[in-house]
Amino acid sequence: MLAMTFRGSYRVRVDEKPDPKIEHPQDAIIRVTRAAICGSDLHLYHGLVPDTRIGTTFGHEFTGVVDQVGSGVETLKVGDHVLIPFNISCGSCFFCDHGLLSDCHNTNPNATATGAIYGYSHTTGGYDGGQAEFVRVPMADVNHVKIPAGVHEEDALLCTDVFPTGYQAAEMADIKKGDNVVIFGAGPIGLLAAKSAWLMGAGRVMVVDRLQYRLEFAKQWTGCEILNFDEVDDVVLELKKQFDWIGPDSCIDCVGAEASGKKFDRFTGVTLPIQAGSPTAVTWAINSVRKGGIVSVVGVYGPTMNMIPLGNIVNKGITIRGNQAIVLRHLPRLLEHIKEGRVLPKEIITHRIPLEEIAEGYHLFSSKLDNCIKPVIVPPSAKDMTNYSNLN
Amino acid sequence: MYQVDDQLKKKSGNKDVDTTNAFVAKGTIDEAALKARIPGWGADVDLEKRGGYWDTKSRLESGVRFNNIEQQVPKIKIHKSIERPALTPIFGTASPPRFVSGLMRNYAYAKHSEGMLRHWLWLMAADRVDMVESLLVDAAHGKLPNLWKEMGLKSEWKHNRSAFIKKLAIGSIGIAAAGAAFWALNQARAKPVRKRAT
Repeated sequence: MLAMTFRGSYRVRVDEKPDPKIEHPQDAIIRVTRAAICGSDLHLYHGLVPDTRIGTTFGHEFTGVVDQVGSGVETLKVGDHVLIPFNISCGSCFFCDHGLLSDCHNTNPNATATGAIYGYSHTTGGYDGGQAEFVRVPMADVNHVKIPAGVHEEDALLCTDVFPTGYQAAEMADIKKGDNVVIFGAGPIGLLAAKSAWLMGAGRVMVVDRLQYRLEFAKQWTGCEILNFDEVDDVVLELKKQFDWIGPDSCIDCVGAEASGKKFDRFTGVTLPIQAGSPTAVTWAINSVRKGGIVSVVGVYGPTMNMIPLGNIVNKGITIRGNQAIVLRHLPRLLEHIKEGRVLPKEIITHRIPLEEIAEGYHLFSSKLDNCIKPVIVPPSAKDMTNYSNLN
Repeated sequence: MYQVDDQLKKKSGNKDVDTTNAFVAKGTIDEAALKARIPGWGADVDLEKRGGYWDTKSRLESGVRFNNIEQQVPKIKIHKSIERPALTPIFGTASPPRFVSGLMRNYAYAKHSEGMLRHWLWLMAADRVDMVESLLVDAAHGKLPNLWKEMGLKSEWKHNRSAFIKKLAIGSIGIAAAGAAFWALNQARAKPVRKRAT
């Protein structure tokens, strides 16, 4: 099969790889119909995630059609059209039993500090991802949702990570009716966090970024206010001024390890890196949120340590929340929102790229060329699938 | 919102004193306007509407549940955190460890827990070694990396041409300058040292 393979920092290519096999009775093999490049894939692409091995296939956002099922799979059959949550969960460990399906303890041997994710280095379990023609889905009875009639394939694709992550970011911010919310990052997750904040009754939503084309899109698509941090001297002071001199009720970090804005953070967190990513966005969030407020973190950081203002967390009585999105938990409600037309995540897709040209997709997305917001990958074998209504 | 308090201003009589009212109150929102402007505004104010965990749980409880998951058989070297007593029942089988980078990964997993910085530094160092090894493997198969294609530079040429040309020019000048300096250094070293007559 054709599959994207990582060749080193800023280098990927499409290679012929052996088709994945059933390795466990609970496995399924999925023929991929759509895959996406996620902003967090760029951390892998830039060589910042430990144990990212040459030859690994990335991709934790994908939809497809069931091609094979293991002998133990009961709820899937060949031909089912499914979306696959980016977390790999066993469905029965201590954490899954407590609803923390993104923190499963039975699927990632390499680390205890994170659950398993498709195509996201060996730190998250060493699974090949979905930027390929076929992919192995472990514990398939747990890790799928059949795409309902009336939901477009590409809306379903963005339900594998982007929409649930944005929604959970807003949910962790504990937004109450009338609350003021500031979201750092106008990328795909920030956009869906803004949409979700409105669903939860926010009174004001402001998105902060430095890329004007993304801010303009955020303003037009979500109806939020925008702030370009390159245009102000002091982001925290500006946010205090904008929000009644006390700061917003909650701040959401949708940026993560490669945040811009402070040269020292970029140098120590990205160039060297002696801390686990640049903590600029989360630091701004902590310093600008009001006393007693909440900082919700869904931006991806490395596993070691970051320099953040702990004193302000204590003295301001701030609550910090974070987690990988528990995709399965959110999907029933999110699919309702899509069916009702309240949120149509596929509207953020700016580029559809053949799998064979995936390197161009990575470069476009990484360098923010051609006003790129969300690139989607189309495998060659998906082009003839006209008999699936969700694809039309 | 803060407002200027005119009475306080008059009482103060001091023009330098900021007489902005310092009272802080929670603002009000215009729900009707928000509903008109934002599709779905407030649809999930009710906490019970958020998430569908119970739907998922009921599905798990209806039979998709495993009290004892069958162990996947490891056919290649699978690394395991030492913060675990045993291999997990399910694991990925992508890109098994190999060569020197594989030995470095073996060491990182066998000797250091996740809480130790050196665990991660060994793994990141192994990633860099793996990149060099993969170039050698490609070369051994007569394959040279196509940087233009692998780095997606067609899109750079298409969408960011002038900056790309500038970067290429600066890079070329840098390489030429380094080359010239190297050549000059070699020439200086190659010159025979003139012996002073005694």
